[in-house]
Amino acid sequence: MSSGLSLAHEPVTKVAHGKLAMWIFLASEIMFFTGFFGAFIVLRNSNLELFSHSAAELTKGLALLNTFILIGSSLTMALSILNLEKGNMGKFKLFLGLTILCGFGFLIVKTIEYSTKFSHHIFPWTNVFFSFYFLMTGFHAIHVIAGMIPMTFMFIKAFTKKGYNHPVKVETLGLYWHFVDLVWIFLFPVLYLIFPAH
Amino acid sequence: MSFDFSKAMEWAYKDMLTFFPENVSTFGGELDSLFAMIYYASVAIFFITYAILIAFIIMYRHQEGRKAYYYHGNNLAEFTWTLLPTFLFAGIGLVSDDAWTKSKYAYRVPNPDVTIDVLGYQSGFGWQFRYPGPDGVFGNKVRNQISSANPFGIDSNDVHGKDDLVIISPGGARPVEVHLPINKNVLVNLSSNDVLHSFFLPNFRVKQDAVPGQWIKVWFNGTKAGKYEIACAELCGSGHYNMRGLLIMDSQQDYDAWLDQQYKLKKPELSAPVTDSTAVAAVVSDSTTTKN
Amino acid sequence: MQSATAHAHETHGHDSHGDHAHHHDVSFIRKYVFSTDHKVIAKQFMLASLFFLFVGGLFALLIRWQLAFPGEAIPLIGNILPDTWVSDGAVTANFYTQLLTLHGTVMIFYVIIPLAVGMFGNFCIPLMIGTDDMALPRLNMYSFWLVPPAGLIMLTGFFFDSGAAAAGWTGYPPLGPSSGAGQTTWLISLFLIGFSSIMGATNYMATILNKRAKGLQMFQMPLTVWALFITAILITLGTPVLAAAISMQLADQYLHTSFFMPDNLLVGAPDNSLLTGAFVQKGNELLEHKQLLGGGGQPILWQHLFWFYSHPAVYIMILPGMGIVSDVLATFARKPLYGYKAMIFAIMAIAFLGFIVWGHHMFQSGMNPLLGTTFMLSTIVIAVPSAIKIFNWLGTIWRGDIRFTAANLNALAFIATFIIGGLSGVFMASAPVDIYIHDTYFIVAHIHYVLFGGALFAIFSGIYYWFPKMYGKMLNESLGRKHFYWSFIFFNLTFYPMHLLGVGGHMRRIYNPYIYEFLQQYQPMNQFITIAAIILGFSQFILIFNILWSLKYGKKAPRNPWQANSLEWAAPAHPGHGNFDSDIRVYRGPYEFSHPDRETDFYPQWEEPQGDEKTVHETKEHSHSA
Ligand code: HEA
Ligand code: HEA
Ligand code: CUA
Ligand SMILES: [Cu+2]
Repeated sequence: MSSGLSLAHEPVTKVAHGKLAMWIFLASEIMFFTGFFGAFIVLRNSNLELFSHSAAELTKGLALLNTFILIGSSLTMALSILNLEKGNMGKFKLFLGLTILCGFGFLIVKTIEYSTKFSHHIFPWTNVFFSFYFLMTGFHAIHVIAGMIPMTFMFIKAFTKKGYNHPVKVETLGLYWHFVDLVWIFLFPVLYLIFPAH
Repeated sequence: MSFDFSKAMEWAYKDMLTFFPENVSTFGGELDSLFAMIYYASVAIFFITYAILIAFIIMYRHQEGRKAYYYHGNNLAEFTWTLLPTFLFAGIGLVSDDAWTKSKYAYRVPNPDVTIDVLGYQSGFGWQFRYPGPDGVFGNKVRNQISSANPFGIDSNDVHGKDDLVIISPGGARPVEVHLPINKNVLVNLSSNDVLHSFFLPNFRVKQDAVPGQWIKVWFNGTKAGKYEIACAELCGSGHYNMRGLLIMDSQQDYDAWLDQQYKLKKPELSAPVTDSTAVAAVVSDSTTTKN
Repeated sequence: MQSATAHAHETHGHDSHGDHAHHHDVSFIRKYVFSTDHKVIAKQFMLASLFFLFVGGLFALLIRWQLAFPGEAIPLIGNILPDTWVSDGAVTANFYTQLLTLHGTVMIFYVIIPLAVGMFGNFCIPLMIGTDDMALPRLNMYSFWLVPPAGLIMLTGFFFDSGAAAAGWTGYPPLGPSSGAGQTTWLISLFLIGFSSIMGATNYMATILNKRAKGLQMFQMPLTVWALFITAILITLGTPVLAAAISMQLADQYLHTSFFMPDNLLVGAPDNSLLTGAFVQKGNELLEHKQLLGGGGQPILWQHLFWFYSHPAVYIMILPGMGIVSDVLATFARKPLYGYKAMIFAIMAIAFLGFIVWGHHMFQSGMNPLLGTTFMLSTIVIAVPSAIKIFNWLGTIWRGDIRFTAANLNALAFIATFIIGGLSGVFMASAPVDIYIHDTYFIVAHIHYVLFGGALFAIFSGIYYWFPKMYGKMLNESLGRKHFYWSFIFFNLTFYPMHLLGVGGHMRRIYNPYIYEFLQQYQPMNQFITIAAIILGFSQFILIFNILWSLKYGKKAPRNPWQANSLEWAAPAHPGHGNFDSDIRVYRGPYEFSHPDRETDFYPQWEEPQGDEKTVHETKEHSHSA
């Protein structure tokens, strides 16, 4: 930008640009999943029986495990931000690393879950319920991966000589990560627990 | 290519309302007059707003030494021109609603004198019609028996189904032709087995999408005997333009005569309600090649 | 005062050149191709979209030719086109359907939205709020660079032997998913451009909220910025729903799911030539077992999801135009905008209502008629804020001192055509009236009156208005006027008669109307429309020529050629990276024209209140007075 001017003053809302943009983007993300949930509700009401006996075939245990993993990862994420702001890099690296591990853990469990489904000859085309199951959890998993990429990048950076010291960026990523967690908190009961009565 | 300018310009001196094709259904008139009402309101609004626009453009065009009026607007004006349209539009909404319920609501469909099933189909692009047959009762429809041979999915072990009369395009460029009686409430159960179609009877002001997996009730009451065209109004593939059909409105006697003539034609293969699949094939090959 | 600005212009002119000098070290690629400068990105949007305007327009003209002279060889190009498209020179039924689908899609997603939102959003927002660039310049660059590939992906469909997408721009299932690879490219393309819109919109909102110049209140922003701000909200909340719907249709096509497919469909197996591996094998086994596809899905579900986005999308296309028109009218009427606040609240109302009216596209879809009633009422209500805007624009030129520049002519044309297009909307809003005119040319007329007559004329207006700031050259006014008059006249001759066709019962999307007896009488009218359309099309070359000519020979633009008030005119004639050469402070609203106690008839937002003048004029104080 041109020299000597103070056009780029500090944010009017006091919220960093990236962070503000992330909030807005998350609103958009909510609408994305709302699209699926809305469709799910519509087709569920026209296929109650199908949905309930299909839902019964999902393995709640693994899903529950994944719920804990994700909630844990949200915690470690928050802690890593905290420590970066405090400036103790060691703890920051530790917790960021743990978060990434949780991410991997979640994905591994998902892979197990999917492969058991396939081995039971359950596929996205088996019926509408499983179409939703695979598409919604699939998109959620993609979101998890999308979060882990910048996370790993920061993690690696943190080990270089320069180190990594952008608390705001980590915070912004944190927002996203909590959102991904939140989506799962919705997916879990809707797909696994709530059986339409009939 | 020929181009007759005077014919092409006919629209310029004809009123919009004169373009409606003749209306021959009971509620059609009501829909047309609704259109007319909104049309006149719009014309009024159009002339008012344009008069103001043009007047201002002329009166307030740039002139040397004139300085515009420094004025940011006032709330009274805002209120008036918020309320004015609100009332006018609310009026339109209210009068529209009655006509809407009358023509579309299932529970407002008057008890039918004649009931038929209609299917739009994509393989060859046409319409299939089903009459209840001499016994006056339709055979049950069961979705899992639907096939290109039995498009309505007529239950093979339902006696009422045996005599059901199914009419499809005769193949070639010739459109399918069906008859219905005038001055009778006709109830059409509309659906499709492939993609969306839309059952459009221009002269009856009837239009309803045919949705696979869903039987939708459409009704009308024809007031004038004659030959009318059936069209498809929802994009359904490259043959969408080619789903022309003919609806002949008869007096009751002519209609009855036509019906049992159809039954006679059908007698030989009463057993299974089959549509000549070779004919279908013929239509397929044909519709893709027809070009006027 | 006059001389002062002139002097200022000179010196700053040098500054801005110096400013360029700073950037000579930046490689050509970074400066013009993968630039993060919002002005360069705006130009890229303009270039890409104008290209697509001609592509989409070419499709339209092919459509028109078929409707006027069915089965007759297309002049000039007819016989050189591959015979997957034409049979002895004439468009085939299949190709016609592809043409109308891609015409609609290209015009909406690759012309109007990128121009109205992409180009003006990028160019106007940072300049008009007095800042140096977007909040997130790099994100901004990505949001553009998704557009050309997305567009080209969709066009590649034409070269598949199954052809391009042919399910209409609405892509209704089961036709959509049961058709070939062309539909896939269409879906992917829309997904990408949707993502690009969201990235852009996020950025616009962050920028407007965070980077306004010192002293600039939200309610001192020009309406263009306000309109773009609210448009951005519509995009962030609407587009993702379309994205979800698209992924479901893609799944229906390739994973053999059936979100939109009921049981026992007699449609061909979806083409999965683009996909390999276990899924396809599984899928094919499956298809052998049950010859009929589908199960449990609902075709109408897609329509709900699609229109939940696509109705707001029509306001995404018109709102920026409304903002532009408001600014242009005020500037050239030399008069404060009438009812500034009312205008903003009207935009908000339109945006809000826009989310609860989508069902008016589905009156005949088989949706519960009860819903039809509610959607009819909400739709009719949405006409009210539009009325408010119309009357405020009229109020703005009332007792003004109107200059008929090319920009202003287009703005006035916007009002004229939007009245017609809007009123035709009210016909369709009445559900019972819509029974007959639904899916006829009455709708097509409406589409074009609001999209071409509305959105595109507003965009033209904006191009004439901001070109000087964009390229530092004035556009040629007389060429501009010529382009306007030709476009305006032949626009109306092309699209007004379509209302009459619609009332005559002429269905849309039909390849050959004349197999219907009741439509044969309309061939001469269709021929008239086609000839008008061809002239309309070629009139657009005047614009292109004007742009090219002015870039080379146009006279150098002064800093504030229109003597306007908003902040972009405080920047150098041809601003470089960083935009401004002086610090911006804002003292008043953007519409302080013809202020009584000033000798000049404009009072820029950035000009310090001088001398005896105590009160800082703010729009809100005045909107209540008198
Ligand atoms: C920029 C795009 C745009 C805009 C702004 C609008 C604006 C409106 N549209 Fe339109 N519409 C489309 C783009 C747009 N539309 C498109 C592309 C389609 C077709 C989609 C497809 O392919 O199927 C469509 C289709 C469409 C339909 C579906 C028709 C059908 O398929 O059967 C309907 C139905 O209600 C409708 C209604 C309206 C209404 C009520 C408005 C209102 O917002 C209009 C409000 C404006 C006015 C009312 C005029 C101005 C007001 C006055 C002059 C004051 C009046 C004064 C007094 C009353 C005193 N539109
Ligand atoms: C902004 C949107 C926009 C714009 C600007 C246009 C512009 C035009 N449209 Fe558009 N149209 C739509 C949006 C738009 N349309 C939509 C959404 C549909 C619905 C699609 C659907 O049903 O799914 C539609 C459908 C539609 C139909 C109905 C098709 C059918 O239902 O069968 C017709 C028919 O006449 C038509 C005609 C035209 C014409 C003649 C123009 C003219 O204004 C075009 C003028 C021409 C140009 C501006 C370019 C000039 C090009 C040349 C001179 C050739 C040289 C070319 C090169 C050098 C590359 N359009
Ligand atoms: Cu059937 Cu169009
Ligand atoms: Cu709409």
